Amino acid sequence: MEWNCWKMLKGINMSFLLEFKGLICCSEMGPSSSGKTQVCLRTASNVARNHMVLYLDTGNSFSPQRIAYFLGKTISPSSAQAKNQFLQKVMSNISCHSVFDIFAMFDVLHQLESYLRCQDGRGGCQMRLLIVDSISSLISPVLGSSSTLGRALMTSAGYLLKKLAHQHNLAVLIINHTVGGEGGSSKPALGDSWKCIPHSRLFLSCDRGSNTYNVSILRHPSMASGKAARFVI
Amino acid sequence: MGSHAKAWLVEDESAREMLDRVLTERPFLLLPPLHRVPLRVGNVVELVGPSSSSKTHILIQAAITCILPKLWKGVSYGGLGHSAMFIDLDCRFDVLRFSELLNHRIMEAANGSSSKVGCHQKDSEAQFERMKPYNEELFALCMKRFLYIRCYDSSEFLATLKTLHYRLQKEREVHGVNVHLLLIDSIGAFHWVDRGSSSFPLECDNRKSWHLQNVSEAVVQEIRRLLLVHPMLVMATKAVVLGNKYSTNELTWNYRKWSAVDNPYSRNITSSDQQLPYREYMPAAWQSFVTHRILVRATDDDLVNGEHQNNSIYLLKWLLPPLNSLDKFTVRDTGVFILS
Repeated sequence: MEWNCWKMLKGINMSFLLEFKGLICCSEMGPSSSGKTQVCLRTASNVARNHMVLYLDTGNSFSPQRIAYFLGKTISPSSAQAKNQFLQKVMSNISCHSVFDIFAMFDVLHQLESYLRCQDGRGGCQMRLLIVDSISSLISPVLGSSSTLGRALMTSAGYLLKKLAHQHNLAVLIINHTVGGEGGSSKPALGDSWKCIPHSRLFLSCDRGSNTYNVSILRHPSMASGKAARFVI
Repeated sequence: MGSHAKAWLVEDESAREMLDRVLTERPFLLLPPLHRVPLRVGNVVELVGPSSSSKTHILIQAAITCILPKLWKGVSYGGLGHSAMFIDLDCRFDVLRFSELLNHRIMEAANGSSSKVGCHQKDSEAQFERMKPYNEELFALCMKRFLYIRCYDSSEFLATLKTLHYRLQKEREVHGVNVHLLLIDSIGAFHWVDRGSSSFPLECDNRKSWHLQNVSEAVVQEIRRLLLVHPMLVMATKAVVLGNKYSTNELTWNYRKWSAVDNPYSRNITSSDQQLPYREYMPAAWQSFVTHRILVRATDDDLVNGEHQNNSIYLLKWLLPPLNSLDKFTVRDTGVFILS
């Protein structure tokens, strides 16, 4: 399954196309208020029209009103009842779980795995998108400097997500933060061991005082890194 | 009795004949960008580098060179015509990118040969159209020779290695070609998980505990056994963190902290002329198994190649055998392209 990220984020100047393939984990990172959650909500609202979405929320940032707003902007004006019905149908496709530590996330993912194993082969609405907002707040508390268990948990979480993506045709969207690096520059949180886990990595930033966001590719299997685009939400 | 003893002394072949036979059956491979040192079956090559330094691309390039035939319907592709086995431990292999690169190589070779004949632009286009079904047939043939398997943890990896012999035998019977290349993407992928699980010992005493050291020894043993029956060139990638002077984005404390942690499983390289720019984390069993080692990393320079193409330049350095030269290369649609 392939769909275009930029088709979903309307109102953007498309300078290049970013494709999310059905099997790839994608990790987005950026400093605070760089639009990461907005991108997730927008993506979720677009995918939920036809498929199911699972949203793992670690910081109570999931907002149904915002999703309703995104959906309301796109449907043609019709009767209030039809609008309501459409909203209900789409919203029922999104399930949001609050997880506040990594073991709760493992729990949810294992449940998801057994659920998807039963669902595979049956028709109807299939789950296609898994969003984790944000993984750094789950893993940073366990990443100590002397213990190896933290990194082991991080790697196992990454492999579980990759396994789910590959075996059940999910697209996995992960949010990561940035931390201060040397010389004042920012670098992605979770260190270098995390860099080897996602398939593609995007860097989001926001222009101060305006509504435009920048996204650039840090790593992609088939596109050169460094390509950038601007968009508004 | 005398005739038996004499029969012992009669030679099978002279040294020259043996050298000829071995060089044709097991040729030296010069794969760009690893063209400085010829590689043969039985060698274990380790590609070391930080994240996203095109290590997987080099593996894919080697695989494509291996699976393409030498000559196909009059067109020379310059490949080996053997199968290649790709064990994906990183689970990030993009098969679409692989097929893109393979297609580009096939088209480049086909176009190259048609231009050699000296036809005009129109003729070469018509010839390309005619060759299209041949290209698809060749593409299907090559993809059949590419074997892929992915493992999500060390136990799956060990299980794969233990049963690989039968799988390769079956492939040999079905396709009639030997497997010449064993590619392992990211041999250190399960390093942290194995290190973490060593703190949970197994209950019974007669099984070996799941230590990082034991897992590595088992992996090396299985690959050695496999190489006895199926002589192959082994290429493995390994993701490392380069030291402070190589990357400006690393925190100093990170590198120092790693050196300070006492790790009984990795060998300390103390000789001054063999200062590694990164910290070696694989156990000694794997380190002594490796026969060739190469370091790749991305530079900050970009090669401006047309309007929208901005390919980054990568540096390559041979660590084992240590060579003084630094090679520059870039990754394009047709594969890895050496710059200097």
